[in-house]
Amino acid sequence: MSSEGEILAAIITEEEERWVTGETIIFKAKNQEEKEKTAILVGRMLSAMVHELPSGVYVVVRH
Amino acid sequence: MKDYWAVIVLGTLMGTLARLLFLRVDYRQYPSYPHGYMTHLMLGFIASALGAVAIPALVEKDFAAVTFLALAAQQFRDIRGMERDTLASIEETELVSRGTAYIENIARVFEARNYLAMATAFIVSSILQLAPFSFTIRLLLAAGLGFIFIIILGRFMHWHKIGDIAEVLPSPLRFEGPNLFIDDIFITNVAIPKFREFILEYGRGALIKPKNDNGRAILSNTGQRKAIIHDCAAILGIRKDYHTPEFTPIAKRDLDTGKVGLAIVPMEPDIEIMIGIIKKVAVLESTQRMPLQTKAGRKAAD
Repeated sequence: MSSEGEILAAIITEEEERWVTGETIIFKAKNQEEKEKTAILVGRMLSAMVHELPSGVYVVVRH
Repeated sequence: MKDYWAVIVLGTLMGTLARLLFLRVDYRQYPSYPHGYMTHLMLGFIASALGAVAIPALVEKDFAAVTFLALAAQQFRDIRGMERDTLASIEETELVSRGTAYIENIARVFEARNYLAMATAFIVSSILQLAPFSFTIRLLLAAGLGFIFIIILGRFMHWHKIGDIAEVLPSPLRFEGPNLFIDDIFITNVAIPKFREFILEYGRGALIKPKNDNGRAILSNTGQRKAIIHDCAAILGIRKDYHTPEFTPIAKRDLDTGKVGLAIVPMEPDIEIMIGIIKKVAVLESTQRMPLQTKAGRKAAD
Protein backbone atom coordinates (compact mmCIF):
# COMPACT_ATOMS: atom_id res chain seq x y z
CA MET A 1 0.00 0.00 0.00
CA SER A 2 3.09 2.14 0.14
CA SER A 3 2.95 4.95 -2.34
CA GLU A 4 6.67 5.04 -2.94
CA GLY A 5 7.63 4.01 -6.42
CA GLU A 6 10.56 3.83 -8.74
CA ILE A 7 10.29 4.57 -12.45
CA LEU A 8 12.09 1.78 -14.28
CA ALA A 9 11.31 2.56 -17.92
CA ALA A 10 9.04 4.43 -20.29
CA ILE A 11 7.35 3.09 -23.41
CA ILE A 12 6.35 5.52 -26.14
CA THR A 13 5.30 5.81 -29.74
CA GLU A 14 7.01 8.21 -32.10
CA GLU A 15 4.48 11.02 -31.53
CA GLU A 16 5.05 10.96 -27.80
CA GLU A 17 8.79 11.46 -28.03
CA ARG A 18 8.59 15.12 -27.09
CA TRP A 19 7.04 14.29 -23.73
CA VAL A 20 9.94 12.22 -22.49
CA THR A 21 13.29 13.38 -21.26
CA GLY A 22 15.86 12.38 -18.66
CA GLU A 23 17.76 9.22 -17.96
CA THR A 24 14.96 6.68 -17.84
CA ILE A 25 15.24 3.74 -20.20
CA ILE A 26 12.90 4.40 -23.14
CA PHE A 27 11.41 1.77 -25.41
CA LYS A 28 10.08 3.14 -28.69
CA ALA A 29 7.22 1.36 -30.38
CA LYS A 30 5.98 1.58 -33.99
CA ASN A 31 2.38 2.02 -33.03
CA GLN A 32 -0.12 1.85 -30.16
CA GLU A 33 -0.51 -1.91 -30.49
CA GLU A 34 3.20 -2.55 -30.24
CA LYS A 35 3.41 -0.09 -27.37
CA GLU A 36 0.87 -2.09 -25.40
CA LYS A 37 2.54 -5.40 -26.14
CA THR A 38 5.94 -4.02 -25.17
CA ALA A 39 4.49 -2.53 -22.00
CA ILE A 40 2.92 -5.84 -20.95
CA LEU A 41 6.17 -7.68 -21.57
CA VAL A 42 8.40 -5.15 -19.81
CA GLY A 43 5.95 -4.95 -16.91
CA ARG A 44 5.90 -8.72 -16.52
CA MET A 45 9.67 -8.99 -16.83
CA LEU A 46 10.23 -6.48 -14.07
CA SER A 47 7.16 -7.50 -12.01
CA ALA A 48 6.23 -3.86 -12.18
CA MET A 49 3.11 -1.87 -12.90
CA VAL A 50 2.46 0.05 -16.11
CA HIS A 51 0.85 3.46 -15.64
CA GLU A 52 -0.42 5.84 -18.30
CA LEU A 53 0.31 9.55 -18.14
CA PRO A 54 -2.15 12.09 -19.60
CA SER A 55 0.24 12.55 -22.53
CA GLY A 56 -0.20 8.88 -23.40
CA VAL A 57 3.30 7.91 -22.27
CA TYR A 58 3.47 4.56 -20.48
CA VAL A 59 5.75 4.41 -17.47
CA VAL A 60 6.80 1.19 -15.79
CA VAL A 61 6.85 1.69 -12.04
CA ARG A 62 7.83 -0.60 -9.21
CA HIS A 63 5.76 0.09 -6.11
CA MET B 1 2.20 -33.56 48.82
CA LYS B 2 -0.17 -36.32 47.78
CA ASP B 3 -3.14 -34.18 48.82
CA TYR B 4 -2.35 -31.68 46.13
CA TRP B 5 -2.45 -34.06 43.17
CA ALA B 6 -6.14 -33.50 42.50
CA VAL B 7 -5.66 -29.73 42.74
CA ILE B 8 -2.75 -29.69 40.33
CA VAL B 9 -4.25 -32.18 37.88
CA LEU B 10 -7.67 -30.52 37.68
CA GLY B 11 -6.14 -27.03 37.45
CA THR B 12 -3.81 -28.10 34.68
CA LEU B 13 -6.59 -29.90 32.84
CA MET B 14 -8.95 -26.94 32.96
CA GLY B 15 -6.20 -24.52 31.92
CA THR B 16 -5.23 -26.70 28.98
CA LEU B 17 -8.89 -27.00 28.04
CA ALA B 18 -9.16 -23.20 28.06
CA ARG B 19 -6.15 -22.98 25.75
CA LEU B 20 -7.62 -25.65 23.47
CA LEU B 21 -10.96 -23.85 23.22
CA PHE B 22 -9.26 -20.60 22.32
CA LEU B 23 -6.99 -22.32 19.81
CA ARG B 24 -9.49 -22.37 17.01
CA VAL B 25 -8.44 -22.95 13.47
CA ASP B 26 -10.54 -20.10 12.26
CA TYR B 27 -11.10 -18.15 9.10
CA ARG B 28 -7.81 -16.33 9.46
CA GLN B 29 -6.31 -19.72 8.64
CA TYR B 30 -3.82 -19.48 11.40
CA PRO B 31 -2.58 -21.59 13.10
CA SER B 32 -3.77 -24.19 10.62
CA TYR B 33 -0.50 -26.03 10.80
CA PRO B 34 -0.51 -29.17 12.95
CA HIS B 35 2.90 -28.36 14.36
CA GLY B 36 1.96 -24.85 15.35
CA TYR B 37 -1.16 -26.30 16.94
CA MET B 38 0.93 -28.75 18.95
CA THR B 39 3.38 -26.06 20.06
CA HIS B 40 0.65 -23.83 21.39
CA LEU B 41 -1.21 -26.66 23.08
CA MET B 42 1.96 -27.73 24.89
CA LEU B 43 2.82 -24.18 25.89
CA GLY B 44 -0.74 -23.83 27.15
CA PHE B 45 -0.27 -27.02 29.15
CA ILE B 46 2.92 -25.68 30.73
CA ALA B 47 1.20 -22.37 31.52
CA SER B 48 -1.68 -24.23 33.16
CA ALA B 49 0.66 -26.41 35.20
CA LEU B 50 2.41 -23.29 36.48
CA GLY B 51 -0.90 -21.69 37.37
CA ALA B 52 -2.10 -24.85 39.10
CA VAL B 53 0.94 -25.34 41.35
CA ALA B 54 0.86 -21.79 42.68
CA ILE B 55 -1.79 -22.46 45.35
CA PRO B 56 -0.27 -25.70 46.69
CA ALA B 57 3.08 -23.90 46.82
CA LEU B 58 1.55 -21.08 48.84
CA VAL B 59 -0.19 -23.52 51.18
CA GLU B 60 3.12 -25.26 51.79
CA LYS B 61 4.63 -21.82 52.45
CA ASP B 62 7.06 -22.41 49.61
CA PHE B 63 7.12 -18.82 48.50
CA ALA B 64 10.12 -19.30 46.23
CA ALA B 65 7.97 -21.51 44.00
CA VAL B 66 5.60 -18.64 43.34
CA THR B 67 8.40 -16.60 41.82
CA PHE B 68 8.34 -19.14 39.03
CA LEU B 69 5.20 -17.37 37.83
CA ALA B 70 7.36 -14.38 36.99
CA LEU B 71 9.63 -16.67 35.03
CA ALA B 72 6.58 -17.97 33.20
CA ALA B 73 5.54 -14.45 32.22
CA GLN B 74 8.98 -14.03 30.66
CA GLN B 75 8.48 -17.25 28.72
CA PHE B 76 5.14 -16.13 27.37
CA ARG B 77 6.57 -12.89 26.19
CA ASP B 78 8.87 -15.05 24.08
CA ILE B 79 5.79 -16.62 22.54
CA ARG B 80 4.82 -13.25 21.18
CA GLY B 81 8.31 -12.92 19.72
CA MET B 82 8.13 -16.42 18.27
CA GLU B 83 4.82 -15.77 16.52
CA ARG B 84 5.99 -12.43 15.25
CA ASP B 85 9.18 -13.94 13.81
CA THR B 86 7.35 -16.82 12.14
CA LEU B 87 4.73 -14.63 10.51
CA ALA B 88 7.22 -11.93 9.53
CA SER B 89 9.51 -14.47 7.90
CA ILE B 90 6.76 -15.98 5.74
CA GLU B 91 5.44 -12.54 4.87
CA GLU B 92 7.69 -12.33 1.83
CA THR B 93 6.14 -15.44 0.30
CA GLU B 94 2.57 -14.16 0.63
CA LEU B 95 0.98 -12.69 -2.49
CA VAL B 96 -1.04 -10.45 -0.22
CA SER B 97 0.92 -9.61 2.90
CA ARG B 98 -0.61 -9.42 6.37
CA GLY B 99 1.24 -6.30 7.33
CA THR B 100 3.08 -5.64 10.59
CA ALA B 101 0.03 -4.38 12.50
CA TYR B 102 -1.90 -7.60 11.82
CA ILE B 103 1.11 -9.76 12.71
CA GLU B 104 1.60 -7.87 15.96
CA ASN B 105 -2.07 -8.35 16.78
CA ILE B 106 -1.93 -12.10 16.18
CA ALA B 107 1.26 -12.41 18.24
CA ARG B 108 -0.28 -10.47 21.12
CA VAL B 109 -3.38 -12.66 21.11
CA PHE B 110 -1.22 -15.78 21.33
CA GLU B 111 0.62 -14.37 24.33
CA ALA B 112 -2.58 -13.30 26.08
CA ARG B 113 -4.19 -16.69 25.62
CA ASN B 114 -1.39 -18.34 27.56
CA TYR B 115 -2.10 -16.02 30.49
CA LEU B 116 -5.71 -17.03 30.10
CA ALA B 117 -4.80 -20.69 30.46
CA MET B 118 -2.68 -19.86 33.50
CA ALA B 119 -5.41 -17.78 35.13
CA THR B 120 -8.00 -20.52 34.57
CA ALA B 121 -5.71 -23.11 36.14
CA PHE B 122 -5.02 -20.79 39.08
CA ILE B 123 -8.69 -20.13 39.77
CA VAL B 124 -9.72 -23.78 39.45
CA SER B 125 -6.94 -24.95 41.76
CA SER B 126 -7.73 -22.18 44.28
CA ILE B 127 -11.37 -23.24 44.50
CA LEU B 128 -10.51 -26.91 44.79
CA GLN B 129 -7.92 -26.20 47.48
CA LEU B 130 -9.59 -23.50 49.54
CA ALA B 131 -13.39 -23.87 49.33
CA PRO B 132 -14.80 -25.10 52.67
CA PHE B 133 -16.81 -28.06 51.38
CA SER B 134 -16.39 -31.80 50.97
CA PHE B 135 -14.01 -32.99 48.24
CA THR B 136 -16.72 -34.01 45.75
CA ILE B 137 -18.53 -30.69 46.01
CA ARG B 138 -15.28 -28.78 45.70
CA LEU B 139 -14.37 -30.81 42.64
CA LEU B 140 -17.71 -30.10 40.94
CA LEU B 141 -17.63 -26.45 42.00
CA ALA B 142 -14.08 -25.96 40.72
CA ALA B 143 -14.82 -27.58 37.36
CA GLY B 144 -18.13 -25.71 36.96
CA LEU B 145 -16.74 -22.32 37.90
CA GLY B 146 -13.74 -23.03 35.69
CA PHE B 147 -16.06 -23.47 32.71
CA ILE B 148 -17.95 -20.29 33.58
CA PHE B 149 -14.65 -18.43 33.91
CA ILE B 150 -13.59 -19.63 30.44
CA ILE B 151 -16.91 -18.48 28.96
CA ILE B 152 -16.70 -15.06 30.65
CA LEU B 153 -13.12 -14.62 29.50
CA GLY B 154 -14.16 -15.60 25.99
CA ARG B 155 -16.75 -12.83 26.04
CA PHE B 156 -14.33 -10.38 27.56
CA MET B 157 -11.62 -11.09 25.00
CA HIS B 158 -14.06 -10.60 22.17
CA TRP B 159 -12.88 -7.90 19.84
CA HIS B 160 -14.67 -5.34 17.72
CA LYS B 161 -15.20 -6.03 14.07
CA ILE B 162 -15.18 -3.72 11.07
CA GLY B 163 -18.96 -4.23 10.85
CA ASP B 164 -19.27 -2.58 14.30
CA ILE B 165 -17.40 0.58 13.37
CA ALA B 166 -18.36 1.01 9.71
CA GLU B 167 -20.99 0.37 7.10
CA VAL B 168 -19.81 -1.91 4.31
CA LEU B 169 -21.48 -1.63 0.91
CA PRO B 170 -20.83 -3.10 -2.51
CA SER B 171 -19.66 -0.49 -4.99
CA PRO B 172 -18.89 -0.96 -8.68
CA LEU B 173 -15.42 -0.41 -10.12
CA ARG B 174 -15.25 2.24 -12.81
CA PHE B 175 -12.53 3.50 -15.12
CA GLU B 176 -12.10 7.10 -16.20
CA GLY B 177 -9.47 6.71 -18.90
CA PRO B 178 -6.72 4.72 -17.25
CA ASN B 179 -7.78 5.73 -13.74
CA LEU B 180 -9.69 3.27 -11.58
CA PHE B 181 -12.27 4.66 -9.17
CA ILE B 182 -14.62 3.34 -6.52
CA ASP B 183 -17.35 5.86 -5.86
CA ASP B 184 -15.24 9.02 -6.13
CA ILE B 185 -12.11 7.53 -4.57
CA PHE B 186 -9.10 7.22 -6.84
CA ILE B 187 -7.68 3.71 -6.54
CA THR B 188 -4.96 3.33 -9.15
CA ASN B 189 -3.89 3.92 -12.73
CA VAL B 190 -3.85 1.00 -15.15
CA ALA B 191 -2.34 1.69 -18.58
CA ILE B 192 -3.00 -1.54 -20.45
CA PRO B 193 -6.58 -1.75 -21.82
CA LYS B 194 -6.55 -5.56 -21.64
CA PHE B 195 -5.91 -5.39 -17.89
CA ARG B 196 -8.66 -2.79 -17.43
CA GLU B 197 -11.17 -5.11 -19.08
CA PHE B 198 -9.99 -7.94 -16.87
CA ILE B 199 -10.39 -5.81 -13.75
CA LEU B 200 -13.88 -4.70 -14.81
CA GLU B 201 -14.93 -8.28 -15.48
CA TYR B 202 -13.52 -10.05 -12.41
CA GLY B 203 -12.79 -7.22 -10.01
CA ARG B 204 -15.07 -6.35 -7.12
CA GLY B 205 -15.31 -3.18 -5.10
CA ALA B 206 -16.51 -2.35 -1.62
CA LEU B 207 -17.07 0.92 0.13
CA ILE B 208 -16.34 1.05 3.86
CA LYS B 209 -18.03 4.04 5.47
CA PRO B 210 -17.01 4.77 9.07
CA LYS B 211 -19.98 5.23 11.43
CA ASN B 212 -18.28 7.95 13.47
CA ASP B 213 -14.95 9.66 14.15
CA ASN B 214 -13.58 6.63 16.02
CA GLY B 215 -14.25 4.45 13.00
CA ARG B 216 -12.70 7.03 10.74
CA ALA B 217 -9.51 7.01 12.80
CA ILE B 218 -9.34 3.21 12.77
CA LEU B 219 -9.81 3.00 9.00
CA SER B 220 -7.11 5.61 8.43
CA ASN B 221 -4.54 3.11 9.68
CA THR B 222 -2.85 1.38 6.76
CA GLY B 223 -2.21 -1.71 8.89
CA GLN B 224 -5.94 -2.07 9.48
CA ARG B 225 -6.63 -1.75 5.78
CA LYS B 226 -3.96 -4.37 5.03
CA ALA B 227 -5.67 -6.72 7.47
CA ILE B 228 -8.98 -6.26 5.63
CA ILE B 229 -7.32 -6.91 2.29
CA HIS B 230 -5.48 -9.94 3.62
CA ASP B 231 -8.62 -11.56 5.00
CA CYS B 232 -10.53 -10.99 1.75
CA ALA B 233 -7.70 -12.41 -0.33
CA ALA B 234 -7.14 -15.35 2.02
CA ILE B 235 -10.76 -16.44 1.88
CA LEU B 236 -11.87 -15.51 -1.64
CA GLY B 237 -8.56 -16.25 -3.33
CA ILE B 238 -6.92 -13.80 -5.63
CA ARG B 239 -6.36 -13.53 -9.39
CA LYS B 240 -2.81 -12.29 -9.18
CA ASP B 241 0.72 -13.54 -9.39
CA TYR B 242 3.93 -11.84 -8.37
CA HIS B 243 4.51 -10.49 -11.87
CA THR B 244 1.05 -8.92 -12.26
CA PRO B 245 0.99 -6.01 -9.83
CA GLU B 246 -1.99 -4.58 -11.75
CA PHE B 247 -4.23 -6.98 -9.85
CA THR B 248 -2.91 -6.15 -6.41
CA PRO B 249 -5.83 -5.43 -4.08
CA ILE B 250 -5.84 -1.84 -2.87
CA ALA B 251 -7.76 0.06 -0.20
CA LYS B 252 -7.64 3.82 -0.50
CA ARG B 253 -9.19 6.55 1.54
CA ASP B 254 -11.37 9.50 0.71
CA LEU B 255 -9.72 12.51 2.31
CA ASP B 256 -12.99 14.40 2.85
CA THR B 257 -15.05 11.78 4.63
CA GLY B 258 -12.57 9.09 5.64
CA LYS B 259 -14.49 6.37 3.79
CA VAL B 260 -12.37 3.65 2.24
CA GLY B 261 -12.71 2.11 -1.21
CA LEU B 262 -11.44 -1.46 -1.56
CA ALA B 263 -10.69 -2.96 -4.97
CA ILE B 264 -9.77 -6.60 -5.33
CA VAL B 265 -9.77 -9.20 -8.12
CA PRO B 266 -10.87 -12.33 -6.26
CA MET B 267 -10.99 -15.90 -7.51
CA GLU B 268 -14.56 -16.14 -6.22
CA PRO B 269 -16.17 -12.89 -7.32
CA ASP B 270 -19.12 -13.15 -4.94
CA ILE B 271 -19.72 -9.66 -3.66
CA GLU B 272 -22.19 -10.58 -0.90
CA ILE B 273 -19.71 -13.00 0.66
CA MET B 274 -16.96 -10.42 0.33
CA ILE B 275 -19.02 -7.82 2.19
CA GLY B 276 -19.63 -10.39 4.93
CA ILE B 277 -15.91 -11.09 5.20
CA ILE B 278 -15.02 -7.41 5.49
CA LYS B 279 -17.62 -6.91 8.22
CA LYS B 280 -16.05 -9.72 10.24
CA VAL B 281 -12.44 -8.50 10.02
CA ALA B 282 -11.10 -7.78 13.50
CA VAL B 283 -10.37 -4.21 14.51
CA LEU B 284 -6.70 -4.53 15.40
CA GLU B 285 -5.86 -3.58 18.97
CA SER B 286 -2.98 -1.39 17.92
CA THR B 287 -5.15 0.60 15.51
CA GLN B 288 -7.93 1.35 18.03
CA ARG B 289 -8.33 5.07 18.35
CA MET B 290 -11.00 6.78 20.40
CA PRO B 291 -10.96 10.47 19.52
CA LEU B 292 -14.59 10.68 20.62
CA GLN B 293 -13.56 9.80 24.20
CA THR B 294 -11.86 13.16 24.47
CA LYS B 295 -13.59 16.49 24.89
CA ALA B 296 -11.63 17.99 22.03
CA GLY B 297 -12.50 15.07 19.77
CA ARG B 298 -16.23 15.41 20.52
CA LYS B 299 -16.11 19.14 19.92
CA ALA B 300 -14.22 18.68 16.66
CA ALA B 301 -16.78 16.11 15.50
CA ASP B 302 -19.71 18.50 15.34
